[in-house]
Amino acid sequence: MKILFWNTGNKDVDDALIELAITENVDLLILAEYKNEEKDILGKFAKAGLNYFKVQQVGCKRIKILTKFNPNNIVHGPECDRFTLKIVKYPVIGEIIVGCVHFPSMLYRSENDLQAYAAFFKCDYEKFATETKVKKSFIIGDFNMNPFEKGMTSANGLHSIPCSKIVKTHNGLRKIDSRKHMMFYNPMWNLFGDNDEIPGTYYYQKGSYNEYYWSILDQVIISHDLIDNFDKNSLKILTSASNISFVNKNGKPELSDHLPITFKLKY
Amino acid sequence: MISLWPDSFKVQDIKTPYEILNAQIKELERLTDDYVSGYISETESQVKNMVTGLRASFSYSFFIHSKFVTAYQFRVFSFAYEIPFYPVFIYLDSGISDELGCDKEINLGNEEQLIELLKNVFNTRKISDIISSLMTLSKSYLNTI
Repeated sequence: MKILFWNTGNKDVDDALIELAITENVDLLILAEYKNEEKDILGKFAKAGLNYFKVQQVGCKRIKILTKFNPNNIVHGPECDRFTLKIVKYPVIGEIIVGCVHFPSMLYRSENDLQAYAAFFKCDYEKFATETKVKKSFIIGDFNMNPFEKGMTSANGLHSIPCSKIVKTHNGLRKIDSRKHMMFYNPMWNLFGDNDEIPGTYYYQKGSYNEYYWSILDQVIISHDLIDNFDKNSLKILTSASNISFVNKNGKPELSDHLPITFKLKY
Repeated sequence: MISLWPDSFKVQDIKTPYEILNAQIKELERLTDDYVSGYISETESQVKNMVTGLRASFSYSFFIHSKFVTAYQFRVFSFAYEIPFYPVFIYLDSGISDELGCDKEINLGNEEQLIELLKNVFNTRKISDIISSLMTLSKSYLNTI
């Protein structure tokens, strides 16, 4: 079961999406800042022999979801302008909560604002997961934060940490001051550095004293009950599909200002 | 002992933000033949601690939902106030604030300003789209049972 997320940066990336859908054999395609009409890309997919459906949007228009699964089996959960929660019924694995986010950029908003979004999201997610009793979930998207930032790690934010064993030890819950906080495993920490020559999903240089150059803003985080289905080795930042490159000759994102990420769920 | 209190107390002729919104929820149900509704819930403490200004005594979030699309809810805004009710602090959904061209975080000094803001929010294309989509999904759900 292959999932792909891409912030397409309001660029025309349809040719790249078709190549990605074919080469990566994507089952669930989640897009942010996608500027073209979904019906047009669905037509292009059909011409390429790919059968995708659009998941109907209600209030979160920033995120588009295309899937090979019957969209009638998708349950619409809580949302706001910056995130949406759905339940997708996967074959064999069963029901999974899929959270899709596109938080505001720190270029325009404060860190406090981002933490507020993370907190709003977490509250709505915990309520939804508790009410529906669906324990398997992943949250994917452009968080506009690095994995080490407070909104990603804090218990009243996304509460995602870099070690799956610790999430398992805690059974996915950590009690602080009498309140239980759901935890996530954040595998994106494994992709830091340049061992694979792709140091992040986003490159930005602002000329400040503290400079990362590369950030991993596009992430997926995994709930306790989905960890065993998550194929760690499948998690990748993609720089090309067939002969279409997403980076320039210096290796920096070019087609969009973000690079896509993909991962696989195993049975 | 003589009473140290004043002779009488006056009930203020003022509607709380909670009362105003509750009345508007009933209006929404009437206008959509009960397909779409709204609800107000206390803002979770972890959000209150995160969002500056939501640390007031009374702090709520306003959601739009439909009883036929059971798991769905859209967080329109969060709001907070102290006694005596105004000013009220509003933390708007960013899609709505973008459409209105206003800040996400707004302080409103009185009932009239709140009513004016609610009117603007309820008349955005975003809210209209959400209500239309929920009515469509609700009708489609009812046709399948």
